[in-house]
Amino acid sequence: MGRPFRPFEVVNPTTIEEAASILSEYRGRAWPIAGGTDVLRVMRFRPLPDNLYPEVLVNLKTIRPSLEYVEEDGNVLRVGALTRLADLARSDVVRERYAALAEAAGRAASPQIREMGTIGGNISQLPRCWYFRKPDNRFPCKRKGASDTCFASSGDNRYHSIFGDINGCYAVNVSDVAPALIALDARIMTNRRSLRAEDLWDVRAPSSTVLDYDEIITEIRVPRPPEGSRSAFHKFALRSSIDFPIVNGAALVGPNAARVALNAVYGKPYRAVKAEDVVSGKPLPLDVATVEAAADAAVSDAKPMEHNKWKISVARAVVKQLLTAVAT
Amino acid sequence: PPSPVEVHPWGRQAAFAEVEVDPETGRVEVKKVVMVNDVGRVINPGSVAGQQYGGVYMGISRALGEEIVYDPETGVKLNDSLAWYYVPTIADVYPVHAIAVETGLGYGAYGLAGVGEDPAALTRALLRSAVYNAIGKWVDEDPMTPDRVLRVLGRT
Repeated sequence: MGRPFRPFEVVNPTTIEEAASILSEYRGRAWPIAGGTDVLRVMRFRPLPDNLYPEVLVNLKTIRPSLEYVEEDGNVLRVGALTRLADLARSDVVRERYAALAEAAGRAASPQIREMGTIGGNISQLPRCWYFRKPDNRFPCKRKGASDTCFASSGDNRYHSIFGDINGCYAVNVSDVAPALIALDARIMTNRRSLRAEDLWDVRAPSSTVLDYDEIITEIRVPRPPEGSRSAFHKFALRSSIDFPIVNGAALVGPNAARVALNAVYGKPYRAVKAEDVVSGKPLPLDVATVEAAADAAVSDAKPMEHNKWKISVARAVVKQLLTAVAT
Repeated sequence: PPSPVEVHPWGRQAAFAEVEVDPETGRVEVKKVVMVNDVGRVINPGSVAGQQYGGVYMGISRALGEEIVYDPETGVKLNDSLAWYYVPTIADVYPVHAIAVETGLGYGAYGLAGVGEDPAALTRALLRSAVYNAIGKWVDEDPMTPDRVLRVLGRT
């Protein structure tokens, strides 16, 4: 563990086009780097098979105009992909009008990491399954494209997916910002296209998004939530700081809005549509019975593994907590 | 009779803990701990307090979070970083009242009994009783993480 890095080069493009062109040229052997809080770790501890590591890191921080900004443009919040999580959490406009996003950004990782880590990086991070992450590719698993085996399915899966596998992988997506973006109905802008937030994520080997290797997230756009609605984020973890979520979630509820999203329960962020159906159209504030029914509905499709049935109870409690915060 | 130098200077102690258990998530939250140690004689107050406070935090850390996880199939250690080995952060602490009592009844010089690992050892055991008192069931496995508490509550 902690062997020296494999040799690599860093390039500092000044435009998005230049960055994309380098990424394209290296056909996957060049990775973008923003805050670098996970990229460098993956390169140092080498959980992946040898053929997946980058020869070149493309530094996105030198791109001009800078991809680091938080602006409200009329009825849309525009957040540059390189905005630090700490800045997002501190931003007055985000805290006031897009509360779930500020809360999520402020609860990710630790204070030090939030000063370096970016929103773009947070939503595109690689899984944290302990089999996937064990250094030196100790477990060459399906998610790495190295075999057909998921070691968690017959191993210690206490933190893994409670809604089954995606493409044979049971690892969960642990982004804290992700459920907030879904609840707030955000759009992800890349140098190629524009996506609904919930369409960003996928389970690929090893990526957790649908992005091509020469595709960069440039901006996240969040529409102003409808009048009279409230949003919140909640994270359940063992400790008050640093931990990845065991279950997290975000909700936006109002007279004309009911959106509930969970994460760390499935291979990609999970929109709790059944919970939304229970809440939708009900008069506000919600009564306890409705909140309980929505919480039950959110986990009704759960498919627990051998060691993670407890996560169903936690997920249910998170939904309850969220709806209580925004709708009672 | 054994020479006083050869006799281990055990101290006497008593501790009290208040915990809150969330039956839906299994989370055990420590609300307050009172740690009383008869140290015989306090020679260095800072050190004594350090052992008491530090011991309580360590004991609770062991009771509620610390465990090394091994893959059941290969025996490979799965949580080999502090990101997954749960030592509480400063944001997780709770009030601790540490009281050092001097009875002079220790076998050491000046009647000192000492205080070493006592608080840590006691607190860890104490937490199990506190959780039992809260939920009426023993969480026998260690540490008492939410998954184990929920299993005992039958909420899995």
